[in-house]
Amino acid sequence: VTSIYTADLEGLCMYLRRLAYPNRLLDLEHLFGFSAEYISIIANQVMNIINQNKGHLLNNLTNLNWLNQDRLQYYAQSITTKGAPVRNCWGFIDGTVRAICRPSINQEEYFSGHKRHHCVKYQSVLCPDGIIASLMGPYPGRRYDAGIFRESNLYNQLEQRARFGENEKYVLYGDPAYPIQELLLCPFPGRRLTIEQQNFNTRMSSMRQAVEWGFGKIISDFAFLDFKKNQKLLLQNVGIMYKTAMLLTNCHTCLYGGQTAKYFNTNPPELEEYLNT
Amino acid sequence: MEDLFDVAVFGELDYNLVQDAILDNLLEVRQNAFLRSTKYGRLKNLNTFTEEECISNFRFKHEHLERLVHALGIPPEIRSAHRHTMSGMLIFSLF
Repeated sequence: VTSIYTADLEGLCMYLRRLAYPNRLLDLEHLFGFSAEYISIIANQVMNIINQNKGHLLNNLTNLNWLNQDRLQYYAQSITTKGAPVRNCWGFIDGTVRAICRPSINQEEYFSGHKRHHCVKYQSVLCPDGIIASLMGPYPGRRYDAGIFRESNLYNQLEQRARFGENEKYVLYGDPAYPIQELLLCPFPGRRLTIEQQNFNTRMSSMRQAVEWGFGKIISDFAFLDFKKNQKLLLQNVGIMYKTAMLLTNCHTCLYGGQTAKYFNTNPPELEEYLNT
Repeated sequence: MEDLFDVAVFGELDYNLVQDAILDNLLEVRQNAFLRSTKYGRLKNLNTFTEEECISNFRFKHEHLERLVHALGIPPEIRSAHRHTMSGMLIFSLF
């Protein structure tokens, strides 16, 4: 019969250490002075507690109390100051692919013909201060971005969060894979573009690279998530692990800032403000 | 040792021999004893980590770790769920 317990701080450290770099549980025994089984159980337990307590923050934009009109205006202002032609863009949307081991069931669903490996997909919305405001997923690797966007119901959340009356609205900017809508802009498609259109695309694309830095941060801080050989869909809860790591990355951004915040010269919310505590 | 006592109870062993056996047993280094610190290493007090060690291991500074525990609502005691039985192999495969 397994009945074990540990202190809060130690438990969080076990989970953080587990995520920090690809490591065997056996390697951590000497750091914490506990057996591998113990560390595994506690790390999983901490992951579930974080997801239960704060997971809702990434699921729905309307759960973010700090994402109000003033904040959206602040974001739009910072993006405009950086040279964006769109005056009311408050964030960037993109899909990300995380490699997993080949699942023994439904492997076709998880194979991305584009990336040529088995993977799960997530959809993220990145604010110019480096905070990932929304993370939807995991979706099977063969799905495409527009389909995920439709299924994620993000547009309804945008309607509730980013529209203030008839004249005031704030938009997201995505890559050409997304369908253009009132609150979601994309680059001009096609090859025959006017100079103005080409100029618009170029300037916005240099802003959009920031979203890639956001994905880069979670992987560089919590490299365990990038270790394909230990991302086993049918054995672990890969999605919850990625989500909780994203929450922790956002906490890290709140405390220490990041590359995106520096580029757009913005200040992320306070830790307690972000976590609604 | 238990076998020795059994023989002594039946009076088939000299008193001095029993005394010697007890002393020998006490002084002998216990080879198979389970010592947590030898097997898993000593439990390191988190307060003894330097700031660099803390960041490289846990990505956060020590004072921020404590703040994070409160902000994330992690309870003071983390228990494994429902005292369920779990084999070692299953636990390994979970994470």
